Parts: sequence; C-alpha cells; structure tokens
Amino acid sequence: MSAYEKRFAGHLMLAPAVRWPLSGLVWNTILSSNMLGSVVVPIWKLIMFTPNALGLLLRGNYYYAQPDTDDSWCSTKALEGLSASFADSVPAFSWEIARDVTAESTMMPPEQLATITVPVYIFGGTGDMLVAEADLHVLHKSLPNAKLHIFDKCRHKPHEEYYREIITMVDVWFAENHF
Amino acid sequence: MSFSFVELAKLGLRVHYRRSAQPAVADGAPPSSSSSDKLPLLLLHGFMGSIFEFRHLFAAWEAQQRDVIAMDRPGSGLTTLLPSATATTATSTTGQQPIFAKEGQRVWGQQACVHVVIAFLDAIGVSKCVLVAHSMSGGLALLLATQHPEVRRIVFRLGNFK
Repeated sequence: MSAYEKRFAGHLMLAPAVRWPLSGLVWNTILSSNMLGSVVVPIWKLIMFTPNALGLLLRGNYYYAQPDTDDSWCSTKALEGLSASFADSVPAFSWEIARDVTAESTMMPPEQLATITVPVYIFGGTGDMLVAEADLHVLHKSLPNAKLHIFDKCRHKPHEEYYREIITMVDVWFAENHF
Repeated sequence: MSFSFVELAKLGLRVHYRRSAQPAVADGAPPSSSSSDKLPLLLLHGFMGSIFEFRHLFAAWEAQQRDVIAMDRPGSGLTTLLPSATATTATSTTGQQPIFAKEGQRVWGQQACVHVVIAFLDAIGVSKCVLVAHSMSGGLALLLATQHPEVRRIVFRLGNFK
C-alpha cells in the first residue's frame, strides 16, 4: 500500500477539470458545435455557467444569500465580525491563480492514470462547457477502479444541480467500498 | 455560526474550514457511534469557489453522522493568501517563509496546494479520508495520487503538526 493510499481511500470527482477549462472549451467547440456556433455559443455558455461570477470576484460566494441555504453559510453579520481577522488577506488576483494552475493542468497520460488504484467515482454533465465529456471518458477508461456517471444537460456544478441524486448514488458507492 | 480556522505556521497560512459536529463520546466509553467506522470526507472546491458550493452535500452527509471537512483553498473563500519568496502582494501571517517558497516556484499551482492539503490534514489530525474534489481540485486529486514520494516527504516533514 502506497503512502497515498494510506492517506486517501478514494476519490469522488465532481466535474473534474483535468485539463484547464480553456482546453475544455476548445474540445467542446471542436467536438460538439457547428461552425457558426463554435464562435458564439461557447462564450455565451461560459458566461451562463458561472452565474456567481460577481460573487467569485469577492473571493468565494459567501455573499450570496440563497433561499435554499441556511444562514450559517452566508451570514453577512458573521462576515462583518470576521473582517478584522482576514483584513490582511486582500482579494486574490484570479488570473494569477489561473496562470499557475494552467501551467500544471495537463491531462495525465493513461499509463500514469493506471497507477491510481483507489476507487474513484466521477460525475459530470453533458452541458458542462468547462470540462469536455471526452475527458471524463478518458479518465473512466484509464483509471482501473473508476465509475462514471454523466448527468444529462448538467452544467459545471453537479453537486449543486443534482445533489440529491449524487447523495443517493454515492451512498451505495460508500457502502460498496466500506468508506 | 461556525467559522473555524487552523494556523499552518510552517506554511504561513490560515486555513478556513468547516467540520461537521463530532458525536459526543462519554468518558471512558469506547466510541459506539456508527459513524466511528466511517472515513472522514475532505471536500475541496474548484477554481474561484469556496466551501459554500458544498452546502448541499455537506448538510446531507452531516445528517448521516459523517465526519465532513470542507476547506477553502489558498486565495479562495476565507483562507489567507499563500506567501511566497517573490510575491509582493501577499505576506505571511506568521512572518515565516513557507517551506515550498523557492525562487520561481508557482505559488498558486497545484503543487503548492498538495503541501497545503497534507499540512491541513495533519493539523486537524486526520490520518485517512475520502477526497471529494470539484473541477480544479480534480486535477489536484490526480496529482496527489501520482506523487507518492512527494506526499511521503511532506508527511514526514509536517508530521509533528498535531
């Protein structure tokens, strides 16, 4: 048993961006769009699939009070109390994160993926313009102990769009693997 | 309201996380809860996200008496920024240089986050867990999985965090 397996018993991967989203966009553009749509549609979908873009600029989406969420996740009063404690952490420049992660985000070769033997459950969606469906299949085929489920028309956050279904399916997976 | 932070002194980082309530164990009694034999879940969000995006899954698993841990990655949510040897926009909360801050190393990259995740788990005393990763963290999970020597080295170096 490797040091890794001692530490992490399994992976649940939600819309894994194993390539940087830009390449996912390129893939989708090539694979699933016609010539006319290839220019317009991806830009539109990119905007639509990040509905919390404003919140993201504010470092996470804590500032969004949503009707299905209890106050403990997004209470602005609590955040005010915290403001002093994280005043030293100025908003991150997202492009800096993007630059660094992009440089390290390339699809691993299949022979390297084949060495990951822990159970992996991959969720994705056909409407995800940030992760190419083809990449999910590559992961599924290359990882020796992987399951894959692709939700129809689900976008980049299956754990928000289909969380009830995910909970149900993952519970079975947990039981199978004694997690 | 529960905002929890853990200081990773060697990394110069204050990590914001949320952990489900632990079942109370009576004095001297062996842990009899059914959750004791279940592995903890570590939830890692994606690019420009935060633990907020796990609110549904967190609540559902918490209701199952699971040990659920969600952490904000550096630069996201309420976790502080990673200091680096060269960065001018970030300063360490402890004034110490992080162990990975070498000239030219990518501060925000996945490689740096490997160090953070391992140090975080050591700091909160989790020895084994199941990783739940979204989007960008999916790549991080693969990187963690294929870097056994690296992980072993970090565990060795940061093993006295508890």
